[in-house]
Amino acid sequence: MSIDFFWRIPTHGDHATIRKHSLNRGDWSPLDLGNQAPGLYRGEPDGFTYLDHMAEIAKAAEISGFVGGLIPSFPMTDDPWVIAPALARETKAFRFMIAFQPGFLNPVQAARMSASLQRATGGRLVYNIITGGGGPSQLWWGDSAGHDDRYGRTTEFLDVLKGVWKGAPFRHKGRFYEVEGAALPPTLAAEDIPEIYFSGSSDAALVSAAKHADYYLSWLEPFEDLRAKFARVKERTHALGRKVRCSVRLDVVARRTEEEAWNDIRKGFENVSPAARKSFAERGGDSVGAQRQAALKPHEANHYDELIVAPNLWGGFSLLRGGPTLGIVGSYEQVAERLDQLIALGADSFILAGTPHLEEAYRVGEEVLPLVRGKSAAVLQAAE
Amino acid sequence: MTIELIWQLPTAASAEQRVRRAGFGIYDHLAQIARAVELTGFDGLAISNDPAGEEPLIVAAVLLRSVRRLKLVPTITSALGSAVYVAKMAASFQRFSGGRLGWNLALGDDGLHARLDELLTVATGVWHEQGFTHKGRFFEVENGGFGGPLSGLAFPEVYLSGTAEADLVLSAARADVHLFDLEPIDALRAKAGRLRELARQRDRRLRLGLRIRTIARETAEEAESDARQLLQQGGGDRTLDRAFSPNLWQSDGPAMLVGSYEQMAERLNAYIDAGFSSLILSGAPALEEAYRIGEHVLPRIHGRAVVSRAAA
Repeated sequence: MSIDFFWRIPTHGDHATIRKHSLNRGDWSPLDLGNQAPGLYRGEPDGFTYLDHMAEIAKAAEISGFVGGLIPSFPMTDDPWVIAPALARETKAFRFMIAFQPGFLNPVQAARMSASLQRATGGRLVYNIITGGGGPSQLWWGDSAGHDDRYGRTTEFLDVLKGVWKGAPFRHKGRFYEVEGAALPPTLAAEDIPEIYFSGSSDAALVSAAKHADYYLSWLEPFEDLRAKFARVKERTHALGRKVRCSVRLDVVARRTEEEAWNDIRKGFENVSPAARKSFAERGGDSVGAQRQAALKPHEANHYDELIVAPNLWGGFSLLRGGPTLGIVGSYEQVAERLDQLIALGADSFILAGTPHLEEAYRVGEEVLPLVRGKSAAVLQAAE
Repeated sequence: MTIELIWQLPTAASAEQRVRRAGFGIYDHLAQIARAVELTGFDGLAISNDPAGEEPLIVAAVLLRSVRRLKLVPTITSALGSAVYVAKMAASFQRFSGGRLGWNLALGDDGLHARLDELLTVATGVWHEQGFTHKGRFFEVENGGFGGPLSGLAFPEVYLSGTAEADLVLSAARADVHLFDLEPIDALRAKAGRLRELARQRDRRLRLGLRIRTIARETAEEAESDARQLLQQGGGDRTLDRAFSPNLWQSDGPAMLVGSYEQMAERLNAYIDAGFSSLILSGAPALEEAYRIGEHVLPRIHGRAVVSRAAA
């Protein structure tokens, strides 16, 4: 089985460099020297939008060897259900991994949207099912369900989605959904159900994942923690008679030499304001994954190297850009070696990201992916 | 009064059947219809909710970058999802399209006008306000509201339809455009009058729209011959309940306008003069009929005279 490498589409603006925490690509920051907002030419609207920037990243990722990209969803970002179809006809192979919270869509309608998108893309849709970080943002979305209820709802949502996809009238009476005789029309039902990447670190999440996930997706954690987590997930799903594969989502800073890579991190760290560190410390919610990451406490560090938690493993990424804390920093060879270690401890797929997303898609695709031995070994095996 | 001419996109079998080559799919043909509609001078494209067809919002988003100018009006039912999520998808759509989204909102399977009404309350709330809080029968939001680049966008124009009193009441309160289905003008006048009165009571004004199936040909004889053939193919009652209003045909299905290009333009102008300013036209096959209407009928519509190219 080969290893799938996904990239990430930055839905919340993009940075020009990892050295500076400024979303200067896109319209999330004021137009200023060094910022570019697609859509303005000499100060006048020219018909382009931030979608054109995302299109460039998707194309860069597919050209440079990634199978697709994650399209994340947050309150302040554009929505993946619009981004993916809008880019369907100008990408060839790029697989759209749509992040969404099942609670926000009706499962029958979601099945229809998904099958239509499968037909528009030749089957390039992937789900990243997220069940919500809780806290104020959950209510911002209009969702008042509690943590464990949300996972129960996710399970039921996927029961219904898969049920109506079979094409025969489907009946379901559950706690969250009631469906009477719904079915996709035959043309849509003939499409494959998208692969399901499932996020969530709590026990409630694992129960749901064991039933429906094709891939269990985790942020990067210290390697031994991740090994234990993946082992637990695989054991649990195995007990339920299903096989789940594991995927890691992480940022990388890969440079010709390790020194250059750390130099970028150091400069980035020195540009973080005390206010930014404080706001990191105050982030709330009931996400167990976020709590596992927060335990690393990057806001208490005074120097970038206090956050090196293992060779090539840096725990301060969330200070430099939104998202998880841990990432890999090193030379091309070192980064490839760490990815190989992750494959050895149970990773079957990766969602990688680097800043800026366009240039780094080419760099990682050209310089790092060819060095990952686990990938080429798998390719050789498949060829035999 | 600005006249808006919209073409309706088929999203099921009739479009599917035109794809004869491996490696191509229904969306390749749908994109061609959309381009045809744009090139022949229409203002918009309506994407209906055919249970046997593609999901309309996805179709609209797939076509977003295939057309440059057309307004895209997918049908969305109130069952799609949470009000915040439906609004958020619309916000991205507006950003990417330069504000070209229209919402043709339909009732969900529950048939509840109250849900659609509340969906619009919440959608406009999070769209226009910061710190928006709502606790209703169907939706709940706390401290919501779109910020940053997702704020300050034009809210999609709302198209509603139906002829029941509850439909008209909802439209009077919420719709930018209320869509009727083709009927003789006199029958429509009464319904439109009631709608206008309900809107006046709320101090609102809205536009009237009409959905019309067309068979337009060079001569009336050709159009009638094609109409007869089409009605026979449909099976069922073969006797035609012909012409109780000029060029308006009706059998079992929805009424349609049948006639020469001149007759078609004359009928459409009569409806326009009666106050129907948004016309959603449809015909089959969609690409060819869009060209016929676009080339021969649209230039004859009031206020749509051909602007001749300046001699170089």
